Order: sequence, then C-alpha cells, then structure tokens
Amino acid sequence: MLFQYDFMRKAFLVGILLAIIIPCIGLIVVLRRLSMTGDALSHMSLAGVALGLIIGVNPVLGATLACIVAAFGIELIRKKFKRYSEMAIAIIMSAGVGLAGVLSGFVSNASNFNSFLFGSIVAITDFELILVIIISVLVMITFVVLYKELMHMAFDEMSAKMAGIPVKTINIIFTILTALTVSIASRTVGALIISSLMVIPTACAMQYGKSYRQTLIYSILFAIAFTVIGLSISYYMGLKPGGTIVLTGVIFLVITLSIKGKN
Amino acid sequence: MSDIQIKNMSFGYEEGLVLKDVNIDINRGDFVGIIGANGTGKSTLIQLILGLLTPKEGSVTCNYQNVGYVSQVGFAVKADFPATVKEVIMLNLFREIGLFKRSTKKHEKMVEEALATVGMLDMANRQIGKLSGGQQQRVMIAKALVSSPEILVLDEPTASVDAKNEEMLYELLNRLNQERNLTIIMVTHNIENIEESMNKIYIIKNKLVTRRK
Repeated sequence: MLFQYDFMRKAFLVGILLAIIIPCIGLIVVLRRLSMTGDALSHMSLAGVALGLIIGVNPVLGATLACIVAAFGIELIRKKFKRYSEMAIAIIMSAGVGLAGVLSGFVSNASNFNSFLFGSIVAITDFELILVIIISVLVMITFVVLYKELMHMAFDEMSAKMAGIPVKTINIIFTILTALTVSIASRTVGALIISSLMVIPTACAMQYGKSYRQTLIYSILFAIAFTVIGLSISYYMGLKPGGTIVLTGVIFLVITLSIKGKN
Repeated sequence: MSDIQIKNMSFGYEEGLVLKDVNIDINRGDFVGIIGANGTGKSTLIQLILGLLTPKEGSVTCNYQNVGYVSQVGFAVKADFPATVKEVIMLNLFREIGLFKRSTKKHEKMVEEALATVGMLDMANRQIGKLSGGQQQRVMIAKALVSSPEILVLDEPTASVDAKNEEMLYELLNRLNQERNLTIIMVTHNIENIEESMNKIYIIKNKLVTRRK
C-alpha cells in the first residue's frame, strides 16, 4: 500500500505543504506578469546547490542563499530597466545556468547534484522535512497577514503606494518568501519544474475562479490534487514524482482549456 | 497659501529635463485640467504633485493628506485579473482597515456607498475583467472615492472608453466637484467636452507649463 512506507508518508506531507504555499506565491507572480520568476530563481538555486556541495554546506541552504541573492538581483534590475522589466528574469536565469554549469564541474557527487534537477521528493532527509515545515508555516502566516496588501500590489503597485501600503518593505518580504519557497521546492519537485508548479494551478484556477479569494483557494486545491494524483501515479507506475506531478497539472489544464474553448 | 503649490519647479531624468520652471496653484474645489501630447510629462507632473517623485529644483507643496488617485494602469484594468468589483474597491480602504487587519461590515458599507455614487451598486459581485471599459472606469473612480478623499487625481481616464461613457464620466466628475466641493485634477489630451467645467487648465509643451484658463 501507498502509505506503508515512511518515505511515501513524508513525500505526501511535503508535497501537500508545497502545494499549499507554491500557488500562494504563484498567484501573485502570475498576476504581476512575472511568471518566469520561478524559472530564473530555480536555475540560480542550482548554482547554490553546486556551491553547497563543493564547500560542504547543506545544498538546500546553498540553494536558499543563492535564491535570495537572485531574487533581489531581479528586483534591482527591474528597477533599472522599468520599461523592459522582464529582461531581469532573462539575465538572472542566464547567470544561474552559467554558474550552475561551471560549478557542477567541480562537484564530486554528480548524482546528488542531478537529484536537484528533477527533484527527489521520496528521498528527502529529516532535516529537509523540518525545513519544509518551517518555511511552509512562515509563508502561510505571511500570506494570510499580507493578503490584501499583496493583492493591491498585484493589481496596481502605484495605487497601492498611494493607498499607504509600504510597498518597498512588502516587496522585500515577498522576494524573500519566493526565494525560500523556490529553494525548498527545487529539492523536492526539482529545479527544472518548480516554475510550472507555480503557474499551472494558478492558470487552472483562473479558468474557474470568480473572485480573487476563490481563485486563490482553487489554485491551492488544484495544486494539492495534482500532487496527490501525481505522487500516486509515480508510485504505482515507477515514474519520477516531480515530473509526474507537473504533467498531471498540464494534462488537466489542456483538458480545461479545450472544454472552455468549446463553450 | 494654496492647497497645492508648485514654485519654480524643474524635473528631469538621466536623459535630460522633462519639466522646466513650473508654477502651479491649486485650491479646494478647483477642477484642473492638465493637457499635453503623449510623452510631454503629464504623468510625471502628477507624480511630482503626489510626492512620488522629487523635483530637481524648486518646490512642490501638497497639503492634502487623503488623495484619491487612479493611475493609467488603474484605468487599463488587466482584463483577466480575477477579482470582483467589491474586492477591487476594498483595496483602497487600506488606511481605514490598517496593516495586517481584516475588513469589517463598516468597510463593506463604505464600498457600497462608493458604488452607489457611480451608479454601479448592482455590479458589486461581478468580476472586474468581465465589465465594459466604461463600467471599469466607473469602478476605478469608486475605488478612488471610497476613502472619502479631499482630492481626486485622474490620469488619462478617457483613454479607453467611447464617447457615451466619456460623457457619463464628465457628468459624474462635475457632480462630485459641485456637490462635494471636491478638488479634481484630470490629466488628458482632449478636453473638448469638459473645458467649460474646468476652472483651471494647464498646457504642457516643450517642457514648459502654461496656464490657459
């Protein structure tokens, strides 16, 4: 049975926690037209993983630090090139790929590094499980507390500033939360697919949600469903869990779009 | 002293000066038009008045604490933004609700009053992206009005609406200006149909701001 193994119980716990927090970040990122942010950060997280493995620091911590630096890098470049803000994501993504490529050449345990590319949710350590729980709780609390502020900033940042919202501070908090989420998710679902997990549940929810609140709730429910279904399929069919979770979401989105298109 | 006073103000970006030696006075109840072609610095002037930018030379003093502002982005509502009209208007009650706090029945009532002012009460639970351009425009005005501002600042409110909706907007602004003595600043490039209602008109051309009325 699925739950007789400790690693599967852990995988489901981690998967569901991530399925709750990733859409929270994903909805804001999508509505701010920055869908590729997750991709840029996850590629930079790979550089952090490689550096961590080289200098003997836990790779997840390495990824977290690299993600935070990259997230602030994106914000900085976005401010410098206001009219071409999407350029920031391309720059950081290229830098991440370049760094990860060069540093990976110095990593002695290549299989450990490769496990971050597509994730290894069924092989996470107790330390990583605790890290996921702490970061998930942190993201959930912050998201609930800053719910209306983040929504206003996603709607119109200038108007949020005029309404008295401390936009700069909340941007910094959101940047750190995004970086933390991407770094822990890259270990579990994989650096190469984290961004799809940010965007696909949101895209599905936007097809059905009639309000902001409803869209957020639907995107979390979709992400949980994709994770549970994806993990179960991967267990019974011997597939890679990260990829199976994402593909479940993609198939559902394609079906949804076809049905909606016909109507 | 005027409620808004701009004295010998100049502003520019790295590429050079945008506005040069600007002098403007705005008082309570004024209906002000700021006119100019695209790229002449109209929105920049608004951002200077609102304190979002700092002048290079001279001074900008604004005595209004509570400003109702709708930016160009605000008027061009993202068509697929998944939020109801009520949720969008509630966003501007940030000061009343406070950081980290949730809205109450009192705030819901304020939203309903703002919607009633613009004649959109029956649309409260509709998705903002599903409304027409004119309806979205009125929702954005309600959003700006919900916190009972002392001044309403509108950046290009008629850019994406038809003539009928433009006329309805002007009627609404006139009413707000006359009945509530609300100060209004409107940035636009076409004032044909509202020129009569405005008591001050400033034109921006070649970095200079001149008063026409």
